[in-house]
Amino acid sequence: MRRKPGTLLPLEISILEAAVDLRTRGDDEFHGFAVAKEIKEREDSRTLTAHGTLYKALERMERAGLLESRWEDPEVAAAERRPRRRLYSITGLGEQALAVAAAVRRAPVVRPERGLAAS
Amino acid sequence: MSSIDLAVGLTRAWVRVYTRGLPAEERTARRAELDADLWEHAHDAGNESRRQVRIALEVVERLVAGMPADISWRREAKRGWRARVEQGSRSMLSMTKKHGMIALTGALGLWYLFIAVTAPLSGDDWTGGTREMLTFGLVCGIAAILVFTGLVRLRKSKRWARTMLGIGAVMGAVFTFWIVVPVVAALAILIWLLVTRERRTPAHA
Repeated sequence: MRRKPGTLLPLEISILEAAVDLRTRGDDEFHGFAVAKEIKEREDSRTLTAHGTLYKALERMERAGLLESRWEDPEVAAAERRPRRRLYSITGLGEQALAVAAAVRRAPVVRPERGLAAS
Repeated sequence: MSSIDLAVGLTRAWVRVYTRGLPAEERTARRAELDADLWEHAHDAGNESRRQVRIALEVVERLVAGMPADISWRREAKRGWRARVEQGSRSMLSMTKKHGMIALTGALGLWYLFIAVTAPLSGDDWTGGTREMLTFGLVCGIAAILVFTGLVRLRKSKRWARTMLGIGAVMGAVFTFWIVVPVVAALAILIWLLVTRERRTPAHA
């Protein structure tokens, strides 16, 4: 999808908002399924974000510096008898981008007056 | 086999398909991340009161809806990988060329040095008299000094070093014009110096 540089896609905004919400609840880091679930609950959606769409967006956002990630300690995963998680966290740049997106969303939409060009 | 196992198996099979042929790092990372996601989905606490078939359908729904993004991700990953490989092989080729030309220049310098030492010793065995041979040896010696100084300075002061190399190579070649190999080598070095010269960036107005 082509877009203006510096702007966020709706899914990217949702991911960043979910990341901020999770952090306020004490989860500084989140994994893919956690953020998909958070988005579903926040937006009262019927379905979870698709695997391909979600992980492609996460990778793109990490490349853009909005998120950072690390692989979980294998011992923690082994102790809980589950696969290792890739843990993401929102960066300062991600927070800034979210603030800008929120400001743009709040700004009133200015529509050009009709009939000015008519002569 | 439960319906969840079936949905998870199907998703894993699809992940294996679209990550096939990608660099190992990207392939294993994507597979591991999806494995973790599937596990979390199947073992989510919110699932306790729900029927297994419903959870399985959810997994399949996520799989199908994400397929276009998976395919486009694969295309981008492959394109990025190819670009990295091409860039690597290009820089390797240019390094090989550079080392080859440095070796050739070194060999030419040694040849001029050899002439510089042997010409005065040979007296008037060659075409000219002793005085001519001394001059001939001196010129080849200067050419050798220019070539070696140019090679040594190549890392520090590129422009001066390249000028010295060019002058030295051509000077020696002019004075040994009847010997084909060093003349061809000097020409090759001159062409390499001209082709790889740094272009000046235009000054801002």
